[in-house]
Amino acid sequence: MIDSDVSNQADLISAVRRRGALPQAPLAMPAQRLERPRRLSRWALLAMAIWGRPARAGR
Amino acid sequence: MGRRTSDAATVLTRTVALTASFVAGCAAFLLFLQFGAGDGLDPMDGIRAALIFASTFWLAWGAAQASAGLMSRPPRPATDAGPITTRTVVLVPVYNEDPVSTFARVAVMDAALQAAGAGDSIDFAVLSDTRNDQIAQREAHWFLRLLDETGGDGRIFYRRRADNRGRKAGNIEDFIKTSGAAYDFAVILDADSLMEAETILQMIRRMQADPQLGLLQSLPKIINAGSRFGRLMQFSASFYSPVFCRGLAMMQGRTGPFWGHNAIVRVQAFARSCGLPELRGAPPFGGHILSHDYVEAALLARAGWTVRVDDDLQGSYEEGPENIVDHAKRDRRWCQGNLQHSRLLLAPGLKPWSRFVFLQGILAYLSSLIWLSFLLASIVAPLFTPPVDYFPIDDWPFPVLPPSRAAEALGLAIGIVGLLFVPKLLILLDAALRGRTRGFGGVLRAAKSVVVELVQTSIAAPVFLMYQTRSVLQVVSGWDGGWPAQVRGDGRLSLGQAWAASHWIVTSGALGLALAWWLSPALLPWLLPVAGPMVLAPVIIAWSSRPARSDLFSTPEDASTSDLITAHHRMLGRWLGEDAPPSGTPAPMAVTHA
Repeated sequence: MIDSDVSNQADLISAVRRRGALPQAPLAMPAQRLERPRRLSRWALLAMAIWGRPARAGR
Repeated sequence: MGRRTSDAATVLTRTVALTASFVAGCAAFLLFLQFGAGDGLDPMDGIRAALIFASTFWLAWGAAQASAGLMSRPPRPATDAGPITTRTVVLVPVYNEDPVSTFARVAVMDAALQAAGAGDSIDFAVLSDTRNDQIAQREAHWFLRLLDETGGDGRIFYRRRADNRGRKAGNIEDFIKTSGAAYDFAVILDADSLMEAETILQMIRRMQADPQLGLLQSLPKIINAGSRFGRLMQFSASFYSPVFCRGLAMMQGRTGPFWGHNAIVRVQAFARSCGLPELRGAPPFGGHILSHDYVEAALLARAGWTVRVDDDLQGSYEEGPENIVDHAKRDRRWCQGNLQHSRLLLAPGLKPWSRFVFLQGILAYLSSLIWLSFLLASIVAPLFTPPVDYFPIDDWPFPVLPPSRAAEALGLAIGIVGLLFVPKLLILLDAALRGRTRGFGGVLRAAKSVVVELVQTSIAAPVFLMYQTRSVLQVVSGWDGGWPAQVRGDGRLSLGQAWAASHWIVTSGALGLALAWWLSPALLPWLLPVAGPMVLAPVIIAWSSRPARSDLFSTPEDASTSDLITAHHRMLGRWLGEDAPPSGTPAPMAVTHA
């Protein structure tokens, strides 16, 4: 039977965290390469040489 | 030497199957050109011949797979007869599912493993990506209920992600990055999956016996189907799929399939090889990889691991959609995922067969578009046909009628129908000779089920063709369908609901008939088996969603329901009868990592 004192949100979350937490045993999972690097065309390289690299968003 | 022998058998099977399919496609191509030459060849005849080549190749490929399955008996895989010496976790990713049913499955599987004496080496982890706060609240409540039921503290876990980045693949990746090092193997399930304890243990033993085995896929059987459509799919999965699966295993060899669930993976291999990147660009072709399972199988093979499907593993179950509309929704996601694989056909380092498997998955959906294009081209063909020259011979005063090519047309139609029907009839014959029909109600009832299945799928095929064609066109035009939550339940649809889902199919069928009547009246009898069901789509959809009443489509799972399935039903009944969570409790925030 579930205790009556887990009837509110905080108790529910706390109980789930306490009793159901995953074991801590990290394992790396690096992203795999699935696409070939994008090659710039000669025209794009020429445009960059003339006008410079396009500004990146957020700078 | 054993491995080299089986590699040789795989190469031989692939070669024979591909050659036979190519020959069948060429035969259809030439036969159609002969048919078209009757009134003079024109460019539309060339286009139609090319389309019939592609369609026939695809049908013949399916028939070749069935033939390989009928003619082969793969050797029994190696298994470790000793004790279980490894640690395994059973992963249950959920996304807005009904927690009562899902956690009841976890409870009965855990109880079965405990009874088998293997509970200490096998944990369970429910990985929630649920976005709906009310469902999440119920998940939390029923998880605690599950722990109380099973005494599972310390071996049954629950985690709800704060965001569902990467969807199911991201969900599993998140688990591996958090807890993967604690386990040797992971059994990956769906929310509606059920696996017998003995099956899980057998899969672990096979993984222990072959250190090169990266992933082992079982063939899940559909259970708990109630509607006419659901029972038909359940019967097909149980009766035909084992043979097709055997043929697939023969063709794929060590570069086998992963279907995303009811499979076991070697955690270290999966972690090192299967991290999925986001593809450049926006969905549907860019972004997160939707059909991650095929890609993960290809990546494991790329890294040198064996990926295998063992069709002899029993006790692996799943549930399926109960109506055509829910099936079409799920198929839409698969369509987008498969078409997205076109971005990976030239991915670096993949095995050639993995690339072919991607192409196969793409063709599985393009074939509907190819068939529809053939029908449309046939309707408008008379516009391109040159006028008949009744006096082709100089100085001959009498008219020369063009030769009838009805024999070629009929031959082509019989050949194509044969490719569809004959493999299934051969599977019936094989089942009767081997005694397998006993599990399907005996020879006569199995035969009746097969005949009715052939008729019903032939009638419904044009409806599926239209849904798949629409899916392909949506994806190609950039419409991201995402990953809608799976609909479970009895799935009954009213005629009104069926009309809402398929009125565009009715319109398409009626327009096709009208166009044919105007442009090519001779085509009408050939078009009726396709356009007729299209016009009747709402009736077909509504009727097939109703509960099944006959004794057709019996499966071995009906005849002797497993203890596990019975236990699940009992547990579900008991839990549903208990009090609901206290009302008025606000939805909990997402449980984040500690």
